[in-house]
Amino acid sequence: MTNSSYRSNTNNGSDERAPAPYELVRFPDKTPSVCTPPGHDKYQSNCLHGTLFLTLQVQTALHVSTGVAVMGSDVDKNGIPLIKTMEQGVDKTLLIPGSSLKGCIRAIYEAITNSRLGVKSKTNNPPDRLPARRQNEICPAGVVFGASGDNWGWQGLINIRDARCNTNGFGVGYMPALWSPKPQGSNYYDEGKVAGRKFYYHMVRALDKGEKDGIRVQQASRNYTFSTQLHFKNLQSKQLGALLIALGQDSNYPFALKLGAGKPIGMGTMIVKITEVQVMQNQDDLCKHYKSFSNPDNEKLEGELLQQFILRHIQAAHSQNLIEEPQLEQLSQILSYPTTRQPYENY
Amino acid sequence: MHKRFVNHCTLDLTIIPDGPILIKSGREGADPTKPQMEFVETYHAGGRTIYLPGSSLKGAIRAHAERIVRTVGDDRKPDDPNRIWASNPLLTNDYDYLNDPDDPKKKLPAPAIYKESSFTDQIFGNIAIASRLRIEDAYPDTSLPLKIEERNGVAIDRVFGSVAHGPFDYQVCTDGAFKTKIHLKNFSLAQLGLIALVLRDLNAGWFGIGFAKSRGLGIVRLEYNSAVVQYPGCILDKEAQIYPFGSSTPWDKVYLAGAGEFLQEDGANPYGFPSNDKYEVATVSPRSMEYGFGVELRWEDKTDITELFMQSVAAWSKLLEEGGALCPTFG
Repeated sequence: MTNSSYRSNTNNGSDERAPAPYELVRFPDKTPSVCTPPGHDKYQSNCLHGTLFLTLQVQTALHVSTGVAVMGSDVDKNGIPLIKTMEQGVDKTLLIPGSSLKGCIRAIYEAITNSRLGVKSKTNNPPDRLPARRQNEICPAGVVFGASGDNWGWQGLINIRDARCNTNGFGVGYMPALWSPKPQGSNYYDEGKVAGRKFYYHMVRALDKGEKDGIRVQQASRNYTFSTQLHFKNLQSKQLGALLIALGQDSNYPFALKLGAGKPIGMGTMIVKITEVQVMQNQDDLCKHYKSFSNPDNEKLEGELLQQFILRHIQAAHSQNLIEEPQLEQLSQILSYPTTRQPYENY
Repeated sequence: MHKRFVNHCTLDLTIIPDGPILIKSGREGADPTKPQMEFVETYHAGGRTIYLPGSSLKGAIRAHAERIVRTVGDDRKPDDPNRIWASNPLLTNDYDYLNDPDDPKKKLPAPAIYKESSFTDQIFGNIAIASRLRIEDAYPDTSLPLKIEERNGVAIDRVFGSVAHGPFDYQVCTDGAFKTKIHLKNFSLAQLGLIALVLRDLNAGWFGIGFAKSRGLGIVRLEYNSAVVQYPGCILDKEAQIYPFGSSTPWDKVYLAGAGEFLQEDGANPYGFPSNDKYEVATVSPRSMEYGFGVELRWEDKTDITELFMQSVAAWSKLLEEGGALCPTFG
């Protein structure tokens, strides 16, 4: 591995070599931590339960593909022959599926904690980084996001709803055909084993060369916003803190998320804002919640209280050794935004 | 107590998807045009349609009811019989306390089984007693078209960023409405209160139904169409006064009455239903049930249904406080 962000990469198989628009965050040297899931049978009085209300601000064009291309008239854009689609809600606004968001956040959570791979990689995985095969092997990310093996499963402690676009309609962009990753590339390996997790850099803009070099995609354009909710239960303070860090909320390690298609050409950059938290954080809150039919109002946190809440739990994640500081440092550099990095024109 | 029938509550509600939902059929059909993971289907109203099975709904409701009871009460049988607790119904070998201590092969008498059972088992049943809650399959409201879509998913390789597994496709319902009814017979107000809290949490997104809940599926909203409480053992006179069957003394007011209110004679309440389990209903007028036999109260206004739930939850809260289960459990 090299720290140089722009290094040779033979992934297009031609003489022209494009710089790699990504970096690996290396696995920690120690073996993955082992955690005991708290269970779903009750709301634990020493844990946190509630909902984060998130706003996702699109910085560069975002396209989360459904895998389906349709005629333009099918998405109310007459005159367009074919377009690759995003999910749309019943009101025709764009959607980011909860599964896409969850995967993106989980990948970061895995990287900044001493966790296993959520998905087994294609070749030469370090044996101790493989997904848990037994229930007593669940790692920090597995406890929060879920894990499964033969004849067992753990549902995880959070769920993320589809993010709905706050802007009506959608943009149409062009995306060139991209090369598939080449697992045989030596950049991925360290002593014959895969060395870490891949994250793409953000760029100042998404490359769009128009019709001559690309296919039409339905996209959320710059400055579109999405709203979603992340619901959690039985999270320890440090686990919620790590989740907040994974959402880019640590002021010492701020970053943006990178989601969807076209990551190498600068697409898919989003900044997460937490607008409100509804939380039950002690026995009194739980008692109030289940003592009367009307929800008590004191569960909502906004403004300064919300910032203090975020800071407190992020500090817990750092002080209780859940966060791998070198990995977080490296990841925050890769995912830092704003950036001056330009998309490579010949990709 | 299933031999007598003293009160019955029917909640008529509509379940509305608030995002995608999928109750998986568990088998892959032969139709190649359909996704790998299909919605359960049945024949209803003259055609084939997706639906929400009552068993799926009951499982989700029961699990959350148990979660609430364990949160404010105990998760194992307490020494104090007044404290509320929830058992784990999947551990069928842990029901030894329902057997006669002098003869472990013999079950206790029915009233003793009920008393020994956990609060949630008393509502939902266990290996020895039947459930007093019944929920009907939820069928589509034909006045609102269902929107059924296909979604694709892939598992992304963390190292190479390529597709590791998939794509896999699944069917989801994103719009429409499903109508169902929840029946609760011979209930105490606290039991109705717990169901009200569960439905409140379901509507608020604290839990979901079906497949892929951690990925945002399964969140629904609820709309209440009506709540009907029936007293089969009462009759209504021309002045709209309620008489217990065989009695010449009418009720002094119109009450929502738990089962214990009908079991006040000596020896009539071996199951130990709470006494003084009632509250005055001012907003709803009683009327005769069909065939002039029995009395029913019908709430149709949403504000009134909320009032019914709030009063029931107040009875639940009182039970917690009197049983010493609320808050002191957390120590």
